[in-house]
Amino acid sequence: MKAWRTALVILGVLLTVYGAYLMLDTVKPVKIAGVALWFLAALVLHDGIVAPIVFGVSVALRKLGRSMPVAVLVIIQAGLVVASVFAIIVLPAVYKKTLGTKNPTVLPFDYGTRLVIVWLVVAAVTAVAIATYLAIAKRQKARPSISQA
Amino acid sequence: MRRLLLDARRILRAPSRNPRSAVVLGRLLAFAFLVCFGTGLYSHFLQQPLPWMVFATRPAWLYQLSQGIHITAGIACFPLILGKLHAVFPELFQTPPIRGFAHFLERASIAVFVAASLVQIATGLLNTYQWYPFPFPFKQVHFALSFVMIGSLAIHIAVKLPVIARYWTRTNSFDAEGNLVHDDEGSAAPEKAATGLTGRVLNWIDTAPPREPRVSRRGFVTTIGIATAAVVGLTAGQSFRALDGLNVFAPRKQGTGPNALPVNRTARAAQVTSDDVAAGWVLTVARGSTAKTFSLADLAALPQHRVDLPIACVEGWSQLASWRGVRLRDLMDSVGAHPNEDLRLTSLEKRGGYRVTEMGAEFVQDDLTLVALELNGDPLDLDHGYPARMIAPGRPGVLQTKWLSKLEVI
Repeated sequence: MKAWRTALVILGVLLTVYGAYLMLDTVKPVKIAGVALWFLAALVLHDGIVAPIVFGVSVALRKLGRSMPVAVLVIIQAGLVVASVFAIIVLPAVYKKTLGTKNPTVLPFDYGTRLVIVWLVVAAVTAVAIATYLAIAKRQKARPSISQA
Repeated sequence: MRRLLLDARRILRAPSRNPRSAVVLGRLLAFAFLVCFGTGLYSHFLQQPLPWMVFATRPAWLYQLSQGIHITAGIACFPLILGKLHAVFPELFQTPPIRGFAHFLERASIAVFVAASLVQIATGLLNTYQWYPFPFPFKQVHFALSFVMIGSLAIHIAVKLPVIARYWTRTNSFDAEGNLVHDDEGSAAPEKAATGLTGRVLNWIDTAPPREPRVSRRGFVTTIGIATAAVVGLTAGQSFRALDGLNVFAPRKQGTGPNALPVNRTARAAQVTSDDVAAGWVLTVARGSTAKTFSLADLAALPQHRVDLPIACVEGWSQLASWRGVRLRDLMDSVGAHPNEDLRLTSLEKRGGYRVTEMGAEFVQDDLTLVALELNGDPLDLDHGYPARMIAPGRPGVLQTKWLSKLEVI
């Protein structure tokens, strides 16, 4: 394992240094400062905003759902995560479309409406998943199987 | 400070945040990164080949596939990286924050890795919207950052190799009851309970009902899987015909636009006017001192060929289309070009990085490479390069030169 680790570190350092060289060679210093600014913004946005919100929502859900089965809570969280990931990918398109595109074949859809529809579909699927889980759990409770004994 | 960090780690502990989840998501993400890197390099060298490079012209959909995979894998990285960062988030609050020079380098490389990855996929997504709200040039930075990312990925794998090996297989990760095996049950409990406001907040969080580790852990990995499949499923239709019916969110839709094909750069954006392409337009074909000119009528009078070739953009969208025009090789023969000679293409466009480009002999000599006059059964729309454009198999859209004005053998 030692040899692999050493080889990976050497490879990694070489590639990183080459990337840094390419940056210095092809991008003006003031633009590199722009890259650094976006690096910092990315870390602040994730570690300082997105992650704490996720944590807060998760604690709040556990507090609110103290009487719910854990699996139901997990299904609700899954629905929220899928809806949020769509928001992250699609909301920039919604905003860009309001600024105008270079021609009508770029961003041809009504992304805002589509996002809302997909959110509703996610909510419906989440509800069906919860109902299915509860129905199965109820049946298993009524007739305990060997594995649960 | 130390207690604050310990408290943070304690309250952030969750069944989903464990080394096995980090390894499972980490290897998927690493695979996606490597796929993006490989397909990205292929696209880069097609556009800026090293002198000795020769490219495959078959299958004709090779670039359509490789670039479609590049963009689709990039989109898949969003849920994967968010899940991966979630799994390891408590590591941000390790204490002491820096344990020495090597540890400092390790943490710095992680910071660069995370920042580069987030900026890379975010700006990559915006590029598919043709939107550049960031204070740096996309192409150069995207290329340079790809090496930084893959380099810091290699360093990260080296640092974490013992953990990766420990939790690589399911059998090694779980005990007989299906609980995750922790080698060091280190206690993260603070020496002294916090008091005051901090204490009350921590206490409120601590009294939240506990979770069933197995349900939470599996639910987490399944959720990231579903999210990844969902974003890929609803966007990949811009690149893959079979998923066109599911194309809900992609920035492009197959079959839209003039000649039933999307447009990347309009004639207006390229500053090509209808005067430029009026009756006086000719295509000049030159080799050394030999030069011939062809009007649109001259080109239409030459033997016409019909080919089905995809147009595949660097931004990921692609579409198969039907093209009709003059075989490029016939035009080359008319000026006595040799089969191993490359070609320089010049467009009528006034400005743009791809006004003058070069084409390797393997594409020049290919049967499928046309100077196209028609697209999907009609004359080319001005936005698709009227009067004549190049279409060759397996090349990026930016090199399928529109509004051709001159072909020079070099």
